Amino acid sequence: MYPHRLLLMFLFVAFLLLPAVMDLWLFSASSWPIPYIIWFALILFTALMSHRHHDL
Amino acid sequence: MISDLRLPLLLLIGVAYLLLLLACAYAAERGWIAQRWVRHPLVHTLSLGIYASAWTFYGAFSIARDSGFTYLISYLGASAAFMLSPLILLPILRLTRTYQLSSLADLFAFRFHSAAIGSLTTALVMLASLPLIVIQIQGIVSSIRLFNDTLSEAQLALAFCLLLTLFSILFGARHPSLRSRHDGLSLAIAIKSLVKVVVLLTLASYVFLQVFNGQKGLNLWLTEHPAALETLLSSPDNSSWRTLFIAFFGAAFLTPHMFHILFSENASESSLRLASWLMPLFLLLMALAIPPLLWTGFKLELLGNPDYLLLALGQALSLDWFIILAFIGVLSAASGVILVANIALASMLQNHLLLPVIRLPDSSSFYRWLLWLRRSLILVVMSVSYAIYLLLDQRFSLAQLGLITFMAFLQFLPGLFATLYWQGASRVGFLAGLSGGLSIWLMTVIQIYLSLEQPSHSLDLWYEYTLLSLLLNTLLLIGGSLLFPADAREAEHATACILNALPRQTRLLGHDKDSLENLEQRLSQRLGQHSARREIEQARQILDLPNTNKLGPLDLLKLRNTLENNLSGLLGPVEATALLRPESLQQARFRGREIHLLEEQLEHYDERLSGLAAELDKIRRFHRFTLQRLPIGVLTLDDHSQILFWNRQLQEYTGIDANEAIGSDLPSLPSPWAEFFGHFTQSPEKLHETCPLEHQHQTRWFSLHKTLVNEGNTQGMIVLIEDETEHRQIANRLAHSERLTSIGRFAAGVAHEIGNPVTGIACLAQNLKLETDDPIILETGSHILTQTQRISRIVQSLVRFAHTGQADQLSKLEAVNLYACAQEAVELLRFDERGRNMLIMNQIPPEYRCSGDPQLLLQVFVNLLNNACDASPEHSRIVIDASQMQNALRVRITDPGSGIEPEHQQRLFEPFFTTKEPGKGTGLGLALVYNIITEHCGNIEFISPADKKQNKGTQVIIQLPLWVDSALSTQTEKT
Repeated sequence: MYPHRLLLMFLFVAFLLLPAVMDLWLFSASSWPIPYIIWFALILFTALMSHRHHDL
Repeated sequence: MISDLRLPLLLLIGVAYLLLLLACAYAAERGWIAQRWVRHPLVHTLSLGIYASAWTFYGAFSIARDSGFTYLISYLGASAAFMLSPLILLPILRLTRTYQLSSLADLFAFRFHSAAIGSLTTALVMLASLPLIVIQIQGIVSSIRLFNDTLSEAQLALAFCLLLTLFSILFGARHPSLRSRHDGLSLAIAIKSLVKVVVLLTLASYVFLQVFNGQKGLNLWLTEHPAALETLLSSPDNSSWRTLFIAFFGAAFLTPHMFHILFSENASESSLRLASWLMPLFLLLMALAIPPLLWTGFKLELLGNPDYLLLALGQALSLDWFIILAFIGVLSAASGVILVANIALASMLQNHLLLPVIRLPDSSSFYRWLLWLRRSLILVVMSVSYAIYLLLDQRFSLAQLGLITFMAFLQFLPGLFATLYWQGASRVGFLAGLSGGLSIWLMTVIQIYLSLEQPSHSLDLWYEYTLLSLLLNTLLLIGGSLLFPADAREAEHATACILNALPRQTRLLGHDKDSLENLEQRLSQRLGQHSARREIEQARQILDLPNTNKLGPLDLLKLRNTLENNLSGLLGPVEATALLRPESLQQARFRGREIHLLEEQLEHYDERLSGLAAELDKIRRFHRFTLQRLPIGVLTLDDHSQILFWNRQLQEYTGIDANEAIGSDLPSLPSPWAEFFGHFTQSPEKLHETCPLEHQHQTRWFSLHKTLVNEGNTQGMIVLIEDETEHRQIANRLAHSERLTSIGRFAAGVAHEIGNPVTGIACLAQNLKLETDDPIILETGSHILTQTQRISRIVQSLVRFAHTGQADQLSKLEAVNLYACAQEAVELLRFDERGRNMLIMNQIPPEYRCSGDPQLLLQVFVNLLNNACDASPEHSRIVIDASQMQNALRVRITDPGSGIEPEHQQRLFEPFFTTKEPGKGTGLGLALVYNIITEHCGNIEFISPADKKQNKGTQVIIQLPLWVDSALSTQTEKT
């Protein structure tokens, strides 16, 4: 339970930073495919993490 | 108006497509499609594509035209929800599966332990869902009117609503149970999701390749028309997209159709793990199709009404297939949302608004009644949606309607996070927050609807009011929870909901005194007697319980849990729990997961565990196996003397099955075990060695050890029980053998001492005979010689007995006439006064012959008849008779004497054991008789009392081998 709460705290911090991150991601790209490419990279990362999970 | 394509053909294709999906669903339900495909995690993951509603096909183009990449927010918000599934979706899934929850209302009702919250949540979800359904209706109706604008919107909407009502009932209201999985529905929705993404990608690919001639052509065109790209890449004027991100993040799991597909139709966590990346990929592909289509619209100047861009493109390109595909795509999107939303809303309305207030019929049609109630509710939902559609009269665009509905659902987000992560949230805080947030939302909706301004100009208000409502909601939730904390019952439910926490238990087993009769009575009050009995019988069959009214505590617990699970599916968990909890438990703590039911579930769960959990489970199984297979009995008690563990060895000792014992109180065990264990557990000693216990007419001995358990919250006792009966018997036999050995040594010494005087007596008797002619003296002398010879033989037997430790082989075997042998013994007894006063009747048939030594057998008869005379009153009748068996003769000597006391019967053949007064008997008689009979390969037994009516007399039964003429007469082997 506590590791999840710690992770949740990090996520809240990330959430606060999210607006700036998404500004950079979506509205500062020099080329129109770049947001999709970044999105695809996030999907690949998530797929990799989901295959390495340990269920407790 | 698109007039080239005949409208009836398009409608026919649409209806045919829906019927095809219905056929696929039916095939899946009937098992015509292999289960491993229907229930594959990929099918469930694809069915989550229901998130992409008509808004995705139409509304996304509006936002893309006006705000560029802001349109991605709706996809990114949902993607974030799926990517964060270990923190949000998986915990909700575990809760819904553990506690049989099928909707958001069930979840909040459970968390805050309040049926009223369930009802309120249901009403609010219904209110918030109406705009969502209206979007779908509006999308389809407007699409159709593009082909023929003379058609009545109201009539088109009515036809569409009726059609979707019928399909909703056919797809999702065919079983009474709410927890029944609808494999067919999942498959149909998965196919629709596939169709949606394929349609969009196909249309986008076509325009990319045919309109722009590939990547080079597109780049060239974008270079020539920088405005198209600038719109997409430019930052929005306001930061409203941040609020949109949160709204769509919440919409991914808070809307009723998404919640239903995610958690009610889901069987495993593996599909959610797959969805954590597959769903974002699905949404990425759909989002990727938007820019080419949008630029095509820009190129062909069709962006005046971007909501229906796809159909307009088809018309502009004069492609019927383009139009058909676009229509099929939006039909898939719209119908999917309506279908599942109808099913989910009908279930919520049934469980939380209707069943708490109406009485269920007491008849065999109870289940059909529930089914028709749900079907009626589906009709009600569609009717209200239709009415709202007419009321709104297309004042709002699809994008605006989407914002209205998602903003409403956003108000449940603080409560959901509190459910998963904050134990301190109370129902007062939740209600306060929800009320505050939804009040602002409702006021804003009404204000804009009644406003004279164009709704589109008030869109900016939405983002500000949404943030305000969310902020107020959160503050009221926190403040209300701090000011009005949760009570004990709420706190336990809160603990149960916290991530990865098991509920706290005060007892390892439920300590209620429920019974089968009470269960049936409680169910009958609500369901009626017939339905109650049917539910109980169904639960019995599932658990394979015996058909008896007396169930053990553990069986009763299992029955109640199964009933609760089944009734949760029919009536919802709130109703089911209220029905099955006895009043005492409803006042007491929240029922924790009883340890044995948890272990039983783990027994079936082993294949699904992985990593450390799998290793821990292996260790648990090994320890349990060790305890179960120990060669001594293990009994574990809690601090209330309730039995927690009863291993197999204890089952064998006592004959009491573990399922009967576990959960019982120790005093409720059958006698003598209750007293036996109870006495030991209450005594201060930790060890009782070799305690006797009379059970089933025999005496057994047990050693008992106990140790107290006192670790933290766990109090109890462990008792070890070891059966010492065999050890005791071996020890007795050893002692007997030791006594015989010492007697043998003693007898040898005595025999040597007796031998000399006996020899002297024999010589004197011989001399006496030689010195007289008196016949009486001669006869007396002969008798003396005979008796001295007897003495010599007895002495020799004793010496042999002493030397070998047991009776040796017989020197010779011959045919012994039993009648003659017994008669001789009778004659010898006449020398004794007591023998003369008895009537000894020799009824042995004269032809009976046994194999043996006549002298030894004479000694047997003499000793036995002597004992019979001593035990019987004067002038009694002692009977000797015999019968022939297959290879043996049975000789019975029956006397009417005082009999043998039961406590003496075990010791009859012990040397020197005698009940006669000192000097009257040596106690060797029966020991010698026993040895002689054993030497003859026979056996001897005593029955006392021989006369059971008068309770007196003794009967000795001797079994001797029958003399067989053809047998070897020289010697027999003794084994």
